[in-house]
Amino acid sequence: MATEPEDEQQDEVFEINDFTVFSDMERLVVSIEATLQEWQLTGTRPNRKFSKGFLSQCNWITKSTQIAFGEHNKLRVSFVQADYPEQVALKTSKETGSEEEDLPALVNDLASAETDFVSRKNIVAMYGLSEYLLFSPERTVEDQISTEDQKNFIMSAMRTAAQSSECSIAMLLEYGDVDRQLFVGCATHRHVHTRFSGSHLRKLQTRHTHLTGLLSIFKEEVKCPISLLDAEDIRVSVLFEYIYRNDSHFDKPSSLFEFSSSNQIDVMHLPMGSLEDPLEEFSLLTTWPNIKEDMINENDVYSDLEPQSAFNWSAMARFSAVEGVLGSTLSRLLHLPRSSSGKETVKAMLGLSHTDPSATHIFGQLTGDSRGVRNLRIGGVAGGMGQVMPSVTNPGGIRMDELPLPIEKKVMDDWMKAIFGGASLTTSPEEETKPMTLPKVTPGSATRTKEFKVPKEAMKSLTITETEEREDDSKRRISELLKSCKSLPEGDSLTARFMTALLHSAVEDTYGPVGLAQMWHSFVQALRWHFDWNKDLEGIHLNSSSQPDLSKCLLHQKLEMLQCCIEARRRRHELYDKAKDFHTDEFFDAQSDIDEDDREEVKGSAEQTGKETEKDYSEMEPQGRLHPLGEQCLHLHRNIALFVPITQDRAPMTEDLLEEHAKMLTSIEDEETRLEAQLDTLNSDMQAFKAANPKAAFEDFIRWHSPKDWNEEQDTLSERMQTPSNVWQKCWQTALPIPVINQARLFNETNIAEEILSMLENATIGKICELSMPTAFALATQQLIKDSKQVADLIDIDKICRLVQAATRTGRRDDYLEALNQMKKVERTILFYRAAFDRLNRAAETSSNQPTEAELRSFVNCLLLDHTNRLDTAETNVVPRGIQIFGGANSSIGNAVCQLMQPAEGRNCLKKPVRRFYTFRWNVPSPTKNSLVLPQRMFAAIELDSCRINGSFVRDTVFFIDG
Amino acid sequence: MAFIGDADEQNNPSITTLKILIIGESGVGKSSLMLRFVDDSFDPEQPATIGVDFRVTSMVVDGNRVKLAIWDTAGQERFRTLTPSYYRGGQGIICVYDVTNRSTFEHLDHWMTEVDTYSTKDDAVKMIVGNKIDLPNRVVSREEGMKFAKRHRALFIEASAKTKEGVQCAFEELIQKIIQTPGLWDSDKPTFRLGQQATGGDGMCGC
Repeated sequence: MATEPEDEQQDEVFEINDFTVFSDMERLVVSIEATLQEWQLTGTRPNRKFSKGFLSQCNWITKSTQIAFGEHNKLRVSFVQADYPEQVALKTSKETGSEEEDLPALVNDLASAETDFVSRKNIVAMYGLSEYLLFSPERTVEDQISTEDQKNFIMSAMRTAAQSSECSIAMLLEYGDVDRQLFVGCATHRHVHTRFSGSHLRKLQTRHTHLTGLLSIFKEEVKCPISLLDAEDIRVSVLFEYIYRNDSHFDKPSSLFEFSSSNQIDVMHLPMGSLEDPLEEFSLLTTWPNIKEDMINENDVYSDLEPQSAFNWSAMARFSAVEGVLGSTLSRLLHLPRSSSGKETVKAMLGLSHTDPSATHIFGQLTGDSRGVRNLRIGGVAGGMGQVMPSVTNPGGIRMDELPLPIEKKVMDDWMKAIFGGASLTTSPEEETKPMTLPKVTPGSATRTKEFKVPKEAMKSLTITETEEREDDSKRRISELLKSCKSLPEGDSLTARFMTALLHSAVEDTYGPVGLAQMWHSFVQALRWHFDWNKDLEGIHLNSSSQPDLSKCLLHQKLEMLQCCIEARRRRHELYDKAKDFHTDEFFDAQSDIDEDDREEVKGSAEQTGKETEKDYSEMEPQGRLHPLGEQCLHLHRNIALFVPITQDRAPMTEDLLEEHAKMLTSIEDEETRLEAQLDTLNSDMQAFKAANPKAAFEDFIRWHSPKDWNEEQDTLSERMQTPSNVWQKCWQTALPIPVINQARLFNETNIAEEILSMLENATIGKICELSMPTAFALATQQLIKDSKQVADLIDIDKICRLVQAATRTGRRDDYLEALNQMKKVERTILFYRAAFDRLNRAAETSSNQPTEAELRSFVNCLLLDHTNRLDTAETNVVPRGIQIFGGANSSIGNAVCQLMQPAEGRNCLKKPVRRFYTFRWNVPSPTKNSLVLPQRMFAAIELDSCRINGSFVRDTVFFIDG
Repeated sequence: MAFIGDADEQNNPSITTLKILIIGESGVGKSSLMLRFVDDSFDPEQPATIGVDFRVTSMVVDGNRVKLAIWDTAGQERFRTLTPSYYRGGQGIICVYDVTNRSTFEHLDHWMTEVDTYSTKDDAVKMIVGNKIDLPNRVVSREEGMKFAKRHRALFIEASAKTKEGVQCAFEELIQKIIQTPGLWDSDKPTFRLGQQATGGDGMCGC
């Protein structure tokens, strides 16, 4: 027999020692021995005494390696050990010097009740071990140990290796189908031999179903050699599992599980919840630990074991992986662009136009021609909100409210009211005041109906700054992360309200994304209405520069841009009101009621004015003055004050426009042309300046426009401004004095607004999703943060915030998917929490012994944590484990559990345990009465259709003659 | 680190294109600095920039060729409303003041606030350049400039576009720093984007 690995043989040249191995058996033994040596598992193991409950709490250390078996097969060898602190290893057998010296350490484990029903490691509960070596097939099918021969072969090798390397650790071999968890094994320590065996039956005999029957099996197996009167008592531990099964997924949907469909108007909360109840089973585990066998009775007709009398109570909840409404709605947004409906336009989806591509083409042409757009829009406005644009898009002339759509017109009107801060949008222009006076209406002065809460306060509560339980640090971090998302501003905004509504409309998907399309369409129509009537978009707050905020998402930028357009047009109207020396209708060409002929006439006159002034404009009346520039006077006319002109604003730009603009600039190779492309603003300023200061010189303009280029001490222009070929000078020479109101518009808000509106109107479903994604994800994160306060310890909000921030910035689908996965997890946790909390809370509602919210919350949190941990372990637990209920049936939590399982009406789940577990322990001399007294142990798990019995039997192999 | 001509583009393709912005009050020499660096030329009569101007060049850093798009902005108040939009995507921001004009230095605060507000790259590298050190009438000391740069965690250098002093060094330092900052430039690889690609013309990408 080889005692050392074969590698050693090369080094030993002087003596001939035959360490060669040939047979499969020899090879296997050598590999096992090598593993035992390497892990230092040889020799006597220290004795251990575990404190109460230690084994069910502790970590388990696992070492594992792979060894070859035969030519093609592999076995996995694992050493599993409870991670106990040094002091648990009380005494090594050498120190005691008593007869225990001869007993292996595992005898202590077998005799101890601490290993009872330890659920984390099946072998611990089944065989009562705190450390063991497990031999299992490496691959479940190819390496399965299915025949008795294979089993015996490996067992022999295990025994040989254990003997030769003096390893006293229990070795178990897993055989048969993995699901059945079958083990056989042995442990050898000098003359004490332990046999581990087991059976798993699918057909039960009557004696397998109760304590009395199992006791008789145990006694038969142990074969006590002495009179039962002289022997120690058999001790039993019992664990019963009572199960509350939730069969009524649809009958009793708890109130918390309802989510508002598109019929319930709520622009403050995203759709949350689940269609199904995630709670699958609720188990009550009752334990009677380590009691004398004769203290309790349980047979086929009678039982002492009432759950209320049990010493320990614990509970366990199992949840099904339901998909939350929020998660599924978000994932719909992610998947729609790739689906068949992703390419369909909103209008086509709603049946408002044929999918004929020429329709959009025509529309595109119309947007280029302002007069056409005007007409089109007049058509849109004339009918008020609920109507579709005639002729182009809906040749059939079907009214929007006559189309069969998922959201009723009345409901949709309410949605729009809520989105736009309660202002009624249904009024048609005939009933309203004339649009021309509209600019004087202050923003927000629109009436709000009472039934809709002003969303501001409610939305504010969504921001995490009010989460009190969190530490300031993480709060700040989360807040920072959310703020840096490229999505929408914190708190209430039109974008937030709209996106909430849009997500509500996307929940119901039976007929595809029609609801979504309808909501989008109605919203865009409402935007159009706002633009037509020059009404501020309530909830879009422009920053001081009146530019779209480029750090936000494109959808929000577009809305901001639209607001810019509305403001710009109003400013233009106001400017017109001030400009007294001007013909009335000129600036109202943007309004629908202007007469065609008038407009032509006005244009003509403006051109004429231009020609006239060319001759001598220094004598012109000053126009478009804003205010004097300090005390300064004209350079050449020291008696005339220098005025700052009213200037045009730079055109605001959204990121896509800006990109286009930058691209346009980069595409111009020639420096001169590039410069000219940007001259319009300078030119406009010069024109306005000349109009305001008819007698001004170039020097005066520079003093206002680029004061650093004016040397006050020397009263001269800077060197660079003096060059005659200077662009500034050239520009000045050609600029005509034209006040801003007569100038070509740098920012044509009508065109820009029309571009935005038609882009939104003609968006495909895919585009809608793409535009909505950043906002939807950021809002969903806020919602999750708010709703997850009760389960804050179980989830990683930070991670979600980080992922969402990254996704909104990169826009990558994969990033969104990753964020979504995390969000779904959190949503599920929230749903699980609500399912369990709600049920228990309701069950105890009527009783006097009701748990406080905090008690119940921490209990449910533990249940959830336990559930997650269970999902994480690969092993199927033979023994259930739960969360201990301190005080059992008498505690408030216990009471709630009791009420849940034993309702006043309905099925009583406490009547009969669904699963039963027993552990028997008995110290007897074995096998003869003169042998050492050794612990014998049996475990039984009884279910409705299966029975598992495992025994650990210790024998003294020293031969004694019966006397 | 050295310049290489366009002919080398094929031998050593550039690993990335960096966007560098030059900002600061009008007349501090932003365009001059850029032209000195790109064309190695100086024109005292260089006209005041209107809107934005830019130059594309390339340089080799640690054996890697990088393309540089240098955006030069106008400093005049009236041009300013649009400048913040150009900050978008800039990996390096050069903020220039004139050492002979205190008010240009005092306005740096304003510029830095703007950078912090509008830069989309959180960790864009900032550099403060004190220009026109060739002139005799200096009023802002080197120490003051350094103190300011330290406060804003920016690189600092004094230079003269006229005499070339410090110009090359300024740009080199900045590029080196950007290349060394993880995530600042390498995340800009073409990425998979949501939605149909065919509609790219309207620039409606998610990022």
